[in-house]
Amino acid sequence: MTFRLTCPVCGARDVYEFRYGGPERGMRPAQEDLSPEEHFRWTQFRTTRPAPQEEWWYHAAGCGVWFSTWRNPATNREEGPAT
Amino acid sequence: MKNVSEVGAPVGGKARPPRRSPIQFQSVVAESEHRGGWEVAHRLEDEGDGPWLIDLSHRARWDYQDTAIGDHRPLGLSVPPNPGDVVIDGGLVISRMNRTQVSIGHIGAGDPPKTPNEVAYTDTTDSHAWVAVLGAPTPDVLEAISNLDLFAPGRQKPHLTQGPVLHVSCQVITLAADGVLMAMARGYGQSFVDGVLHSTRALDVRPAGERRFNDWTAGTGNRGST
Amino acid sequence: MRRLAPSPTTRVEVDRPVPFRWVGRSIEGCQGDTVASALWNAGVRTFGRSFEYHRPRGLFDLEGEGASQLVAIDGLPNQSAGTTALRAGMSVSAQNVSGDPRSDLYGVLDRFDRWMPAGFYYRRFHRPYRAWPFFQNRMRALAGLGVLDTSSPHDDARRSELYLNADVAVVGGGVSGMAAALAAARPGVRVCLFERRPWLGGHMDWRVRETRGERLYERAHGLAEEVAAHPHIRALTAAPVTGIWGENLVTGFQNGSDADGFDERHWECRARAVIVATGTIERPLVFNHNDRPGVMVSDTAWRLARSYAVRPGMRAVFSVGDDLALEAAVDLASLGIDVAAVADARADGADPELVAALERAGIEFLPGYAASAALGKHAVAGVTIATLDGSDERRFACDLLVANAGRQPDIGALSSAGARFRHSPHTHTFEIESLPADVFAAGRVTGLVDAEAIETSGRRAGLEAFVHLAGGLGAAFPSTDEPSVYAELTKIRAYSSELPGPPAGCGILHGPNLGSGRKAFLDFDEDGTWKNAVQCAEQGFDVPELAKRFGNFGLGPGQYRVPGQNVAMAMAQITGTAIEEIRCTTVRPPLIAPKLATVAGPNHDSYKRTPLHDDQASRGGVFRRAGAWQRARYFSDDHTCRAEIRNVRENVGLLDSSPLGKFRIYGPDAIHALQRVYISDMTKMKPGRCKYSAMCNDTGNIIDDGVVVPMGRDDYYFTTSSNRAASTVEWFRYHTRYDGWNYNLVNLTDTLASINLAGPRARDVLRKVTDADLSNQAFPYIGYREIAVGDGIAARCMRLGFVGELSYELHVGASHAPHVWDLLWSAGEEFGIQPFGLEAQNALRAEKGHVIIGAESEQRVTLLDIGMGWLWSREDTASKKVGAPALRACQDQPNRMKLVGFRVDEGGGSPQDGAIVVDGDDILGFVCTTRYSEALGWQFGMALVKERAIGDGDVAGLEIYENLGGRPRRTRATIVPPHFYDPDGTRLRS
Repeated sequence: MTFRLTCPVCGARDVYEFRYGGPERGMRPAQEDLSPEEHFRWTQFRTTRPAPQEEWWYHAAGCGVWFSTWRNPATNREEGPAT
Repeated sequence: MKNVSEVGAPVGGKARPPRRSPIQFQSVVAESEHRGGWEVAHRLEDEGDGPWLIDLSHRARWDYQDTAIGDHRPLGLSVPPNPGDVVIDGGLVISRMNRTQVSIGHIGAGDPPKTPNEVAYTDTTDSHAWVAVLGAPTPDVLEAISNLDLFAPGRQKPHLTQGPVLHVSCQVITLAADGVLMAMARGYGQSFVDGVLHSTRALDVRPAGERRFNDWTAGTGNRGST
Repeated sequence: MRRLAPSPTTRVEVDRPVPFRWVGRSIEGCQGDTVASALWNAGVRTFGRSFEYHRPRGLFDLEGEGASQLVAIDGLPNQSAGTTALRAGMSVSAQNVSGDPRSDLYGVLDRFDRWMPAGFYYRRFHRPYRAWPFFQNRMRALAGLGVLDTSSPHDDARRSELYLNADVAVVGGGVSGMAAALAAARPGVRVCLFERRPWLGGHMDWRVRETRGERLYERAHGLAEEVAAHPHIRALTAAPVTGIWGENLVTGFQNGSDADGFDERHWECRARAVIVATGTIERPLVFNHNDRPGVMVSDTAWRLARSYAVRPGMRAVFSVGDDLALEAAVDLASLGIDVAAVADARADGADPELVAALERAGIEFLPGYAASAALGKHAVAGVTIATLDGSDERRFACDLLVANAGRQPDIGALSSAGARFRHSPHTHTFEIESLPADVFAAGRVTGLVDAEAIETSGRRAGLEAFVHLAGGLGAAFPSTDEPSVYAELTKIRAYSSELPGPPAGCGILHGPNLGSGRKAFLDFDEDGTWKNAVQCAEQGFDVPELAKRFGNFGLGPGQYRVPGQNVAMAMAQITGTAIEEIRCTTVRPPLIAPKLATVAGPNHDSYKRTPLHDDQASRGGVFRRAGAWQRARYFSDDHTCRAEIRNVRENVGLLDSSPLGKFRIYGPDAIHALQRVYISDMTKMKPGRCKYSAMCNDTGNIIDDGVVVPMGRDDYYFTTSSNRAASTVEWFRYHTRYDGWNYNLVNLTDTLASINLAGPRARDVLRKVTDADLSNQAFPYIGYREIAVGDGIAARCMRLGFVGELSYELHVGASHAPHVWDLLWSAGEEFGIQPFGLEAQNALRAEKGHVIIGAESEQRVTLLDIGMGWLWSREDTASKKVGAPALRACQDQPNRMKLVGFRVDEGGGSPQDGAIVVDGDDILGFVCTTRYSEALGWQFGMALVKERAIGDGDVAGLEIYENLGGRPRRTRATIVPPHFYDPDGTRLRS
């Protein structure tokens, strides 16, 4: 398996240069009165769909920047959200 | 002592204490000098006609970071506008790494500038092993060790590429079609040059002394067989 | 045998002999030969024996794909005779034989086929199960291909890799591939072209037929010259493609000569668009004894004669199904080869021009006939040819039987790229149904046969690819002549539609009078017969993908190419299914197998050396890999390190801890970032003091620990564990990615060496190399000072006590480290200074009860569980500390795993790290680290156990269970507080 990701700093590169940071799931919730259920929903739960999703990637072997990009896990191609 | 740049530098000392490069070539040193504590090889025996692999780890380097980096002139240099851009000016090469960071290296003749006592500077001379590959077959050498597109036609040289070479993360500056600079984490230095020499035996890459590099940057040197 | 007279298509130099050895005999080939062409010319007909039945096998196709033509060369097995260039002095031997390939002792196996049906290996021998190892060994001795000679020389230096970047990659260097490359290559566009044969030209390289006033080989040679001279095309020959992967990564290998400096190199090419022009392969005709040496496809016979000037046989019979094979028959006859008859499985549809030429050459033409059986024991001696209904059978004597059932597109590369295929009743092949976005096809792989149509399709594909890239990349792509490209493309699209499309194909699969088909092979590699295919269907494995696996059709070295679409056609015919409803099997990489050594590439290990690597090596350091680094683990052969440990406890030791993660963080929001990732309250730092803390992940597991030192306004220096150094920046940035904070990180891990000077005499040693005040008052435990060492080398000095003794950690510039090491060494000699390694450090810190993350912690335990909850700033919710909610959620959970210390009871022996802690049959946890302590005089350890094992009382016992080589051992231990050595810390603080 191989595909490319477009780093905003370095351009299109091999996926092997990146580390996956999971799908976009919003800001870290406030911890004041945070229930364990809410906390674990935020840390552990993921939506898995064969459709474009916004994801975080870290350019570990390159510029060392975190960025988010839209990608379709069904085709492994970068693809914007379905409109 | 606020800045790491002062660590390792002599504190009011007399003679410069000895410093050691992370890279030791097998070749016999033919000519060398002591410079700032380093034993710098000018010339090695059996350097061949190129391509050459040259250790520049003794050359000064700095990291400079600021959110508004474009408003600054680190070491008097103008900051290249976009990530990947490189400017060579007054013996210094400054490359834009990302939105907030540049890396600067001393490639000129003479002494490097002193590190300014400002928070944005970090002396990173000891952070990296720094090597040059020079000579006409330089693209062939790089094609054998990295899948990075370092010689794309239409891309203005010099330019910076950050990515893996021999599976080691590098800052690669493509100076010209016959010369690149590569900086990687210091600890990898020896493995890296061993790997380069091993992987490119068919191209007959030879270790060379700093003079090859100085001549090359001055534009006077023999640029190697074609 | 005397070679044929050289012609303009000849690729060998017949007057330059190349001597080599075949199964011990000296024979001669000539310059330019492959091993196969040289052997065939020397009269060798049997190259080896088949995998299962040990039937004699010879040269079937010259592309080097089937197992039949694999030989051992100079001790290296499974070399392709068809594609390996002949070199002087080579020693070539047959494989899978016991004795000479002509009289193999195991040839008798051929008679046992009725006891070896499809799925034979899967279904026999496993009852009773105890018998299986016996049968397995017997079968392995008989089956398999080649013997690996592990003592043969292995020149690692002759392997290399090549990484290419291209805009357009062209797979296949025939006329359409070359035309595509030339059309796409424009200023600023990089084109790479890959051809498996050692020269460009494809099948037109040897065809002398004239079209439009030019002989085909002249056209091919002309294009090849243009390609070679083109500044924007890089053509790699002898470079088969192994696969096309995601987003146009084309991979393959290349065979090199002595002059190239490599034998076989791996290459990969990242392209923006790929043009596949792989042509066709012949579809083998299935008939009885179709594997006899002397049976071959038409290209093989034709190329032997045309490219290698080798006479393929004295008297030939053809049983074929396409026009190209008819052309081959005419051409071979013109070269003086006696062609007795040509049977064409197509009743009509043959090119009338070729039929007339056959007639002119006096060759009997038999439309509607096909071979039913090859005759001859070890090699072809004749053939029976019959009408398809089997009614009229004729017999011919011959030593060469050229057979095919027509042609099929070579879809391997397209299939690996993700193309889909559909059966066409017109061409009787699986045609391209859909292509991925950036992939284009050209030439015969699309079914074209007409020479002009083939070349035009290539030019068109090149232009389509260029326009696709231009559209996809906008102004960034070279587009100076784009308007003219569009005009050209429009024109060529129109012209293409006027040219002849794919002609009707041949739809037969097997010859007449097949019988049970027990000696009619669909797949030569693993002896898959027609009968086996019937058995597959009978047992329910009745679709191609299942039959392929159960009957081993296309699982051998030849992969898809020999069985090809025949498997799908066989399943359709046997099950009575319409072929249109059947999908052909998926072709998977590697399409052609490179050597594993080629894929491995040059063998070098990239690891990090500390600045003190050589200095430790010269002191007897024994290095082991630890993460990215090579680190000194021991300094003697005693792996319990008694002497190293004792010296630290009694005198002073020197440890290279350079891999320790070291970072600078600065900027107005640096403190916020520290508050986020560290579990403690980081606002409570004091100048000149190390703040010890830990990082947790979102589930509350401790992942890192270290110290933070304030260096100035909004400027901090911190350390991480060695294993975390590489991911620290990533961690900080990830957990602050929504906050927009302004802070900067610099990784100083490699910049600064770290030297740990530890032991009761540490102060005495350090005092000799610095003027700084080292008294306990001026520089207390947990203190941080910046001192000058020796001639004024600046050092960051931390007074920490990981190993439980008075110790100083000196961080100095990496390039200065060897000098500082030497200074300390000289200063310490009078105090008995000795180096110590990682294992001694591990034992020392464990004795002190200090944890190592990953040794005394794991993913089931939190910071609290290992007794480090005191680090946690519980009231702070505003910083949104990573891990805090998880710690809060599980702090009161009952019966979690907890870290405990233990002392092995008198006479209990020495359990090993990792041993389990049990209560009867119940597993309660495991031993993390346990050692015998000389200082204590007993075996101590730390274990992670369920809380209930600890019990309520002060004294609780643990039972440790091990199974060492089948011998169970139980060790009793008593739980004690995990501060074994110097529990009050007086030594640390002295």
